[in-house]
Amino acid sequence: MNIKLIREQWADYEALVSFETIQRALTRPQSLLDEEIEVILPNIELAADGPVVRSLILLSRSYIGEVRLTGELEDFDFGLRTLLGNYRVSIGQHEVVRNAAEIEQAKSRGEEPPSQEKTVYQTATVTLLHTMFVMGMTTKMSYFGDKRDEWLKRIKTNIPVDTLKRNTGN
Amino acid sequence: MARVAEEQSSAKQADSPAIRLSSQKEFWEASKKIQPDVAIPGYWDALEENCRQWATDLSVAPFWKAVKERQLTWSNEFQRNTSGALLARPGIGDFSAKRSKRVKEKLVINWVRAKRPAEVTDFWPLTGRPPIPLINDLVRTRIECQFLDGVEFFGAKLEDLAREMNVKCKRERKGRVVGYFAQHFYFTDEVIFRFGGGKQLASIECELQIATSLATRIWEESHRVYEEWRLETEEPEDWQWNPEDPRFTARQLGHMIHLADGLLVQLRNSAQKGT
Repeated sequence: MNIKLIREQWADYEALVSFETIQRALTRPQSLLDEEIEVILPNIELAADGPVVRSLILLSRSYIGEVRLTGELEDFDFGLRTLLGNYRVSIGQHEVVRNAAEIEQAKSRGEEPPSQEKTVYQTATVTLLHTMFVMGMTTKMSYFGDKRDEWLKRIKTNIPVDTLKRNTGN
Repeated sequence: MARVAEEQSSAKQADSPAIRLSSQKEFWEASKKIQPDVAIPGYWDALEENCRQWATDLSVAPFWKAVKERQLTWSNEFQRNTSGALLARPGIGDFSAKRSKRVKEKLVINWVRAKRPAEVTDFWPLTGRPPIPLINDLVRTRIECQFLDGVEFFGAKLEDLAREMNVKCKRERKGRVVGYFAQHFYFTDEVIFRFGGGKQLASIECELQIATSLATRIWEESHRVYEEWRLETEEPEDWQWNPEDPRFTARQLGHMIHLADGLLVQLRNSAQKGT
């Protein structure tokens, strides 16, 4: 695993999870793979207090894997990255009113509510359905933040839609 | 932005018979001897204006900017460890200023609780120093956590960051018989006190109240009850054995909510182990 390359890929997400944590999470999966991990992508979901990296999607030349980020458990899996039967993309945005509780409280007391403090997140979900030998297995990658285009571009570069054709021999 | 616990009910209690500041002449006379500026017309308005400015300044000062930047990392770490959210909502709020009326009330309350000492040097800096009352929450904010262990986690992270940035701080874990459960984090920062055309450098303590959402809701709602007894010295047995006393319900509820917060953590941890 080329640490420098992987670190560069994580630069945009360093504010969420430090690279040291990521490096630790990748150590065991890398030790089991017969190929180098070349690409990592965050799977980001929205928690009550903002974006949270739930898992890492990793790619080597032949494999796609997911490392779930949990405190104590080491939890990950691999599949063949060329085994794709369906490629689903969902894009949108999500608005959060950060001071919704204060507004409701003020209203219930008959006071003038404070003005809304909003955060708008760009969202995207890419779902890959891995067919052929493992029916129904999916890889779901989500994004919440303000650099969605960059995230999608990296998915498009590393897991292009034409991967689907490889299964048919076209 | 979350309002701090003590602020919200004071406006409604402005005419409460229990709060008669003018009746505390002894305190104010002693205060004027140490800090003559206190008697100058316009002093209290100027203090309030200064506090507002400090709240604005400290909200963008290096320490608070760093807290805002680190919050996402802390939230992610807490989520990985517990599968729960650290904070009850996205982002960290800014500071707010304590109003002069409340500053006066708090000074008197503290003086009454200290058995009305003739010397009031614990409440004002020595003559010649900027006339800023020695209160540790002139500028403050509240952080609402989703879970009880998030309060401890966030407090510890603040301490680590303050140490890293050489910011003087202290943390207090509050658990009062009146049902108030929160952690208070105090840090010291430099400010400029402006009054009468002059400027003086000063240090003030800023307060962060860290508590769970449930505790915050209960405290805010029951605080009106607390306001009425602000200036009275009381013993727990005054209300602990009288179910008709409004303090009985409000304060016991605070303890029940603390228990509920703890049970919620147990439930979350059991669910996490189960998965």
